[in-house]
Amino acid sequence: MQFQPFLLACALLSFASAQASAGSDCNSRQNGQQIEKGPYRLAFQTEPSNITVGKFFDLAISVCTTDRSPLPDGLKIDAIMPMHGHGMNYRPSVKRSAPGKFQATGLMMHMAGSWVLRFDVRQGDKATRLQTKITLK
Amino acid sequence: MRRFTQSALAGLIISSVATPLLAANTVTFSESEKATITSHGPWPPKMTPDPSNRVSGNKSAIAFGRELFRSRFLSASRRHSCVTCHKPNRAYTDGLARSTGVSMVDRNTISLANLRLNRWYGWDGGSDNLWAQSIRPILDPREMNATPALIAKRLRNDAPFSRGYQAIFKSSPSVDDAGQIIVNLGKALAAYQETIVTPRTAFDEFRDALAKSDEQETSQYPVAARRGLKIFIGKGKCGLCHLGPNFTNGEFDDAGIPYFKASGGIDKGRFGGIQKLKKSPHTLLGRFNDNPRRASGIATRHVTRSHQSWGQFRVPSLRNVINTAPYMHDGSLPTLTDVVRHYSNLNEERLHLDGRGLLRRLDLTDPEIVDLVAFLETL
Repeated sequence: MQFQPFLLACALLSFASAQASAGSDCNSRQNGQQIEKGPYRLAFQTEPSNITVGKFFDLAISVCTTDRSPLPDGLKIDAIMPMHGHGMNYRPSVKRSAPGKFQATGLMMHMAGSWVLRFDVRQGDKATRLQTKITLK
Repeated sequence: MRRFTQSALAGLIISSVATPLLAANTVTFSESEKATITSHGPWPPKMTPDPSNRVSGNKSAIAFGRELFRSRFLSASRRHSCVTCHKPNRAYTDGLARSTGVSMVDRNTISLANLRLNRWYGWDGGSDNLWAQSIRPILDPREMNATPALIAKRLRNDAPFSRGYQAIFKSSPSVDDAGQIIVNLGKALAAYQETIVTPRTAFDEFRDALAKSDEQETSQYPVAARRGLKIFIGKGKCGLCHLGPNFTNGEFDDAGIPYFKASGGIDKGRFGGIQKLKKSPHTLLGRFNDNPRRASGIATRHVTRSHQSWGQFRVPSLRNVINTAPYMHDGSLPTLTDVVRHYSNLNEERLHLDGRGLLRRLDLTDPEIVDLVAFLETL
């Protein structure tokens, strides 16, 4: 009987640790931006830190959940200029580096103006779109 | 009294005429506009050697490439050279709407200046590096109509060129296969073309003076050009695509020019360029890239073809634009005034999906057109 609470405590500790691991980055506001939608909180940082028109950049992304929903197993990234009706000329590649963590390369915004950066977070068959505006001068 | 009244009236008339004249001659720029203007410099920018080309920046390769560029050695008939279309005394163009080598091609000759700043080469961006782009016309049946085997055989039998090749590439043309030889010659040609850089211009002097808030120096820049610059960065929205020191984003757009070829059929533009790129053995992702990390291949790795790529052509640099007429991918617009009028009276119905969102009729007045051209002439 004493063993069972111990196991439960271990399991809870392990679960909390996993959530905190992903959550600690996606809660950070020190660098980058944060977006929330549904059960997801997503934080991303660009590399280099400033996006320049016509220059490639990478993204480091952390996704955590604000409830007990499972972490996403996939992520797609795109960017569009709604005023001009076009997107990027390049398709970024996204790799999952750890649970809730992704690395994207090959993004490039080729015009100054208002862009919308889109993150399609996928968990199983369900996709949730998180997006944020970026204005380039 | 009568005399005084007349004098006062004349004064009023002079005053009412002079005020708009004074306003027209005084062009001021906001801090935001100044930031945009200074982003078009400094010039020339630092240009580093091409990591994909081991002889980029090599003096011997530059001299060898220059000789190749002017020689008829690279054309099958020995009747054409790179200079046939890229004439040094015409800003490395030929002044024709569409160029003619062995036969007439479908596009206008692009000027060969500031090439180290390009991400893509050719109107359709079919090459991602300058050495591959230098090989293309040699092998095009309409231009120089040669083959790698023909050039290799000719090189092996030409003592001066063979010695030059061996000194630069440290291997003999009798050992290298034809595929390697044509790439190496392309790299020597690229090394030479990288040295063609447009000089500083009246705009560069103005831009630097503006950055230093040197009013005396900025006043030297023609007023009409200043008014044109104001249109360029404002109402004209030209800077959306023509940005940075080289006045281009290096990408592709539909400028509303018909893409029907004079020879028949449709010029696919960027769509076809990406098709060519994906099939080419001469890209930055291939074995001929001298940088083993292939780091400069990021654009090629990620470039994507979509329906929007149809009818798109590379946004050309505006540096030296006064000397590169005629204009657009098919050379259909003879003068800069025609180009500005084209954007001013744009037929929005003709634009492809991508262009419809981006381009709008500018509806410029005649004086505005004159001013915008005056600005372009200073680049």
